[in-house]
Amino acid sequence: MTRWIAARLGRAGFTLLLLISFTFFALMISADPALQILGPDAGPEAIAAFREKWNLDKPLWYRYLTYLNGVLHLDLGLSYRTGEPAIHMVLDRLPATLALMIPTAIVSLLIGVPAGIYAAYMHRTTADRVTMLLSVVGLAIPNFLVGILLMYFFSVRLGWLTPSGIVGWSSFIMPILTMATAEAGIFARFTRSAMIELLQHPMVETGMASGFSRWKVLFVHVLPNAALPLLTVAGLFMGSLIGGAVITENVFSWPGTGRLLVESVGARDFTVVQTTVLLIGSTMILANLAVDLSYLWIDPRLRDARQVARR
Amino acid sequence: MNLQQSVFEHSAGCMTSKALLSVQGLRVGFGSSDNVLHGIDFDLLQGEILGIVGESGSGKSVTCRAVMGLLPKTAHIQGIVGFNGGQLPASQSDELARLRGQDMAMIFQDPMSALDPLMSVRRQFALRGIDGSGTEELLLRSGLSDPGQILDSYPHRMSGGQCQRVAIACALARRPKVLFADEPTTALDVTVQASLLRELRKLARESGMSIVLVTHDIGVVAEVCDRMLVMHQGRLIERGNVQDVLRAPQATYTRGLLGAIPRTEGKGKRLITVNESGQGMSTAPLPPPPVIDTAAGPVLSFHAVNVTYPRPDGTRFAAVKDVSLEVYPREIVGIVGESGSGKSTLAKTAVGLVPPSKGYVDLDGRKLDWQRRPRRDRRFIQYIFQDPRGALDPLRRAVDQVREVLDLHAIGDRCARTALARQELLRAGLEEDLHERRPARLSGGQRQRVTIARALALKPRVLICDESVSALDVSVQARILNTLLRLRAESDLTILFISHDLSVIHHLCDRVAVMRQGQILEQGETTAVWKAPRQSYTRNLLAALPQLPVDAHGEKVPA
Repeated sequence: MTRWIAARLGRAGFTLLLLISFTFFALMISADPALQILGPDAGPEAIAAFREKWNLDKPLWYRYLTYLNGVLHLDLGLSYRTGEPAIHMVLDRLPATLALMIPTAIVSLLIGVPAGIYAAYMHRTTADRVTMLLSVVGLAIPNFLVGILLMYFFSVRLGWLTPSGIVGWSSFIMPILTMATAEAGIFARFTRSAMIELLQHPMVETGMASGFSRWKVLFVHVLPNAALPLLTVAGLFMGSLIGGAVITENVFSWPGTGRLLVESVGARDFTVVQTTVLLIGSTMILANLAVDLSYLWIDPRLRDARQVARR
Repeated sequence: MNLQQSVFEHSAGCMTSKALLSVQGLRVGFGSSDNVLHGIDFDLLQGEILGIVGESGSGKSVTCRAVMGLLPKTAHIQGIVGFNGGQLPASQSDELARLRGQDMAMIFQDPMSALDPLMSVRRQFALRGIDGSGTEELLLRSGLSDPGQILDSYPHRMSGGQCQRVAIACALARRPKVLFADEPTTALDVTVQASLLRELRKLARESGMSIVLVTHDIGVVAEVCDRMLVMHQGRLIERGNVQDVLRAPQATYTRGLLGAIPRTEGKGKRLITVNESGQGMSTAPLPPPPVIDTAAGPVLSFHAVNVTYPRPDGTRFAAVKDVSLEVYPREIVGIVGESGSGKSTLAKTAVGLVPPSKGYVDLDGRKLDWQRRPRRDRRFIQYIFQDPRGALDPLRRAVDQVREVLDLHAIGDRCARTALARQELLRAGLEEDLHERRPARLSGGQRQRVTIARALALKPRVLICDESVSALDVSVQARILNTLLRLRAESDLTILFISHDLSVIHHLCDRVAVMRQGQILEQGETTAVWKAPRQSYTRNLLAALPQLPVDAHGEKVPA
């Protein structure tokens, strides 16, 4: 088991290395931060001084290795714009983003999973079709459009909610709804199909024949088994949640990491972009590692396969 | 008529014990369609084993589920279920649900998936309110000798027989008075089936539990049941004591069912059965079997074939070990063995689906090499699988699927190929008006005829049938067996026939090879092996085969 985890961690590290390298070269090739940050009126001396200060006059491979060395020592560099450590800038903004992501995850699970269960029990009825139609609508409408529509109705038309920034708990409603529509739709669909398959499974009938109630069969047999495919979805869900946060934060001028990312890309503040990407990448990798581990915890068949492999 | 019979049973047959469960006028329909059950009446007595026999779609499983209240809400149910003195309308599935578990329990066909894969046996019991010494006792009663070890096992670590015994133990947890067993041994090997049936018998004898045993296998009924019901298309066709029904069946349908079962004395003869409308069919004797000429050498021969599969830990598992086997022209050779014996793996080496790790296969003395192109050789050995639904393209008409292989091998004139395909379908016994249908609109037996026609359209030297009749009803199986015997007699077809069913092997095959754990234990003339098996394993297999009473008979077998 420990060897398996070690192998997984090694693979995760390699993925992270690929990610860092790719963003590094893509950013470095894409533009010259000196021109962008100092502006068009800067003299050649100022530009040369900027380049020297940030090592931009050194060859690419030198900068790459220096950067990697920094990452290994948890030194992710200073922001070109503010001179602050990039990691501080990102971490400062993180709570605002988490304050969106965590409630969104909870809300979309609370809506999506029960909706999927309901649709599966109502399989091939109008209720099922309506639920699935809503879920398709939810995941088909782009996040920014949902955001703008919500803003139009609740802020412009009704004047109930403030359209941007954080002014109180009510500011959370629209961004969370914006992000949760798509995620709930995805969860509803996957829950439904996993459930439909499992409701046909002989163990359901066996449970019923043993005198279990529908609810008991649902909670004891069906949901734990349905959790297996849903876990994989949950791993991917992290990715779409982060993507959704980037878009939603910009729509609602939310002071989170997503907005910082977009600002930094616009300003060619490469260290901040890289730090954000690194953070997002590590989160994704850890989330999927957690998914793999929970499979082992839940499914005895995989546990056995692992033990055989270890021998 | 049903009512009269019911009264008759009460007055004459069963004065000593009263009915524990009594079902009256049970009707079931789904949606707007016709009734699935058209008025079923039967009584179940204390401590008896009642067999319900019928082919697929006869309504035998629906009957059990209706009594258990397990039918979906969309079902329209009428009738009365009387249990232990009380009476309930069968439509009140919520009321019937209260009887489930403590008064009535049920076990199902597929034991591996009846148990939750994520749960240890201990937890399965805990859910049913049993723990501690109670679990061990239940497992022992169900015939599991090492309960301590089983308790902490998960379903995927147990064999099918063990899973079914655990399912039985779970069903017994709350001491039900009635156990419904729906094809409980169908998915199991014949030796496992035999011991499980003994166990059920013991349970009924010792604890006075009544058992309703639903099965398609009349042999199973003959082995363990006291009384039996015969069902066909949602109706009760016949009922009575097992011995009476088997010796003197009254209904044409029952006689057809009995006639469809391959029997020792009728080896190689036409099996007389009834078609779907319940009428008899052609009784003309089959053409005599050809004389096998071994002088010219075998058409297909396996030379010390070995097959290994990788295990997850990197070592290799030997599925077939040094197997040599010859098949002579026009011969039907059977390979028989239990699941995991390697019989399918061996056969697949002959068509290149599984590469042998050592050894090789000859066709007409020529070594087969499936890597070499063009792969024209493929047409000379054709393979028919167990599941015809999976082997056919669901979107294409039957005749096109047969034509496709002709196109592929450029056989015959381009314009003549459709006619050729039709001819093959007719030869395989599929009537003209079914040729345009897609597989979804064909029955299981009709689909298997399409795969047979598709295989034979290529005029192969050898036809390999891998459990090709195992999933079919016994009357359909009988007709396919008749067809295979006729085709062999008419042409120079050679057949390698793989089955776990010893009676089918005996009926069809000239020679037989018994496989176990990747090896051929013994081979020889089928009749010789049946009369005097040399290996104890073969003797056990033959002994485990459920037997019909010798004087049971269906339609007369033509001489």
